[in-house]
Amino acid sequence: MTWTVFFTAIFSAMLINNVVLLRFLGVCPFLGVSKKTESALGMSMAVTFVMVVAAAVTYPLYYLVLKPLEIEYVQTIAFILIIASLVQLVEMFIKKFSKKLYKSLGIYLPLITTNCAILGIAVQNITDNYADLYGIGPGFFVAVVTAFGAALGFGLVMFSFSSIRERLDAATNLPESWRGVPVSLIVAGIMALAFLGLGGIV
Amino acid sequence: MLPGILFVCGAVGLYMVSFALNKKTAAPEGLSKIDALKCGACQNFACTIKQTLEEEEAV
Repeated sequence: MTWTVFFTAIFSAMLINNVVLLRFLGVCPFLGVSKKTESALGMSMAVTFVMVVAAAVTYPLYYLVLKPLEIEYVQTIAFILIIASLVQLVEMFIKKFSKKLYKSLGIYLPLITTNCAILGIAVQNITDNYADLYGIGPGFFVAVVTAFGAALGFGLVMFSFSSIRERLDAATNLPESWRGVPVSLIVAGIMALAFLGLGGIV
Repeated sequence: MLPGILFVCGAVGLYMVSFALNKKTAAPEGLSKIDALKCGACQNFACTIKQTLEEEEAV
């Protein structure tokens, strides 16, 4: 396995298979927490942190516990519960040890429990069969890197969408019926089309 | 079948323990009250912060 694999994984997860605009996962925080750039950045940081940790936990859990015990059918519920527990533990540690981090991420952590992008990437890491392609050990690193790339893609889209929304809120020449959610949905659609154009790169 | 049930029960137990531990851990000083304005944008019905704020408002 070469560095090319890692760069392709990051690039592909970030732009070509963007988790929000092309796979329609994590749309709730995309629309809900994108009114202000500051909130969007906070949410993106929290998602990056949890997505990477969740991938690092769920991948070995599947190959070292669920598969040997032949209980792959509980994968979805197991991942949901493990991710929810993980978020609780992460929040607890942040509360205890880092006031600064809690101030910036604390409010977004409970929301991540219900963020389907986290579960989506954890499941994708299994269905994409990195273990068969690269072996269980190297496959783990590809899974974590993919999760990081997906989180970067989430952050990129959140930041750009929130910046556009801030400018649209300040616009005075926008028809009244278009203000708020309608124009945001149109912008989201145009952004999805733009990302679709990156499809043939890799 | 039994390992699956046991695993799910274990995962539920893990969640309950982590939830209880998180609930018991006090927030850092000055940050116990969450700024209502900060989470006004999200309409997530499962959000515990929103529920707490609504309860406080009702009182």
